[in-house]
Amino acid sequence: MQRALTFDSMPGLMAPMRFFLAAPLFGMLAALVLLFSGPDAWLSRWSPAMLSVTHLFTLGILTMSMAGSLIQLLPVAFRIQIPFTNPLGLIVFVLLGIGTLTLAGAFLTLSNPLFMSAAILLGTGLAIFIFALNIGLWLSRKQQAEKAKASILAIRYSVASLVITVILGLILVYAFIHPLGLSLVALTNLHALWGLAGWVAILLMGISFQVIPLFQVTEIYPTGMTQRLLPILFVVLLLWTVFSEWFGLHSGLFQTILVFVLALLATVFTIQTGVLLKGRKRPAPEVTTLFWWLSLASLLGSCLLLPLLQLFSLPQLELSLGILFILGCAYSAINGMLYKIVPFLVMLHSQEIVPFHSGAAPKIKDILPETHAKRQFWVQLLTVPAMLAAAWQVPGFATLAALLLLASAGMLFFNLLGAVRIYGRLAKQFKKPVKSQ
Amino acid sequence: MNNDIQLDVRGLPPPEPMEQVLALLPQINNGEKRLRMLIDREPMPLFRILESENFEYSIRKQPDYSYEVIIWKKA
Repeated sequence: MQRALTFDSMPGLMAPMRFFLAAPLFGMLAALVLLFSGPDAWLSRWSPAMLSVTHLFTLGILTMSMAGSLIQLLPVAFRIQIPFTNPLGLIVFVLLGIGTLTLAGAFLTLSNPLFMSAAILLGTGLAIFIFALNIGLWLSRKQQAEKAKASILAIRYSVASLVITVILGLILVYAFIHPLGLSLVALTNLHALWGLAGWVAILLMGISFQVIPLFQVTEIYPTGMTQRLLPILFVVLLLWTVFSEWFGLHSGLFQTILVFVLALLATVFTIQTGVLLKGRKRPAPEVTTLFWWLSLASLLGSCLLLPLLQLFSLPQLELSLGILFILGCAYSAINGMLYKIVPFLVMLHSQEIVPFHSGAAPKIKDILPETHAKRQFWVQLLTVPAMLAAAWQVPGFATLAALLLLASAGMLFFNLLGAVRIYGRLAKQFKKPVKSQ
Repeated sequence: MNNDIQLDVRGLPPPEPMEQVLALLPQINNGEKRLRMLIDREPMPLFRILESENFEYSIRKQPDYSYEVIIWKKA
């Protein structure tokens, strides 16, 4: 009985896992949308299919897995207990999942009722998530692990950026349905900037400060960087917003300068992370290391394209930037981290149900074989340039890129599912006798 | 105690320390020996497993910021 109680009081395996399993399914869906839309989808970032795919990625893959990771990571790594983790996690998951599907459908059909429904579902789901996270941070403000301060700060900046992104998204839906005389392009750029450079990039960098040295066995990041980079980045985003055409201080020149600063900050992070990975104490790269390299190379590419866009405002350049940052950098990093987190979680939860002396607890390398994960990495590695070729209208690549994405996301899904099924089999075998004690 | 089983997992990334400790637990299950482990971090997930498997543990921060964890079977 004791064991069953201990097990029930912590976030269950499925609390984060449902987010992790849903992420590649959204990737597969994005691939299908691209496949059926053909080359038309690639005309610009404003094509209905591309807007739909963009949100399947940013909400369905990135936000989904980042929310799942925070739910799991905060209590285990930082001693931050989110109240009612299991039921709240489920509610957020359902609202975020259905909201993303609705929004993706709304872009494809340009249907106002669908946009309104998506706004309500996503607004509510993300508001609950942000509120619960902040309650958790506040309740445990005294017992937060000292070493984790830099990461907790990153979570705060990143979640603040998410709040701004969601508000801007809701205004965009309203402005789309009831034209307000606002520039939808300027508003969209702000929404994208806060979502990608704020919510996604800040969290990714903050988490890297912890997980790169820990899991990749590297030296630690310089303190100057972990303490200053993210606050400066956040201020740059704020200034960029203040100088946008939305405010009286509008200045195109200052905005351009800030874009260069943003690219410079991200480049500094990329180079520092690259230097750390290069000096790994274990020379043989694991699959997660390969994903980190792909992610860093794509981030470096984004840093080059971002200033270039200030000079040449080409639709293909805009698409390339999105592909490099969302698919190449953020999705690849998350993909790699899932290969660390998921087998570890399955092992941990298996220990809770399998008597330790029975020898039945699975080993990490058997839960998710490295060869399967590496196979998926190579497909992902091909997907990024194929997508770029599709963006530049190279004939045949619209279909090829969609097929590669479908294969990459599908392989990720089945790799993760295989790991969860190992736990499922053990639960069937061992959990009943424990509960009946 | 000289009888302690020694395990140094400093410098190893998760989950290797956890796997090594779990592999050694059966050797101290009869209560005759203790397991003395050196690790870079506080192994929070391990503690939960130890509690549910009826092991006790003590933890001490070392001058180099690593931790010494001693594990033994509850009497």
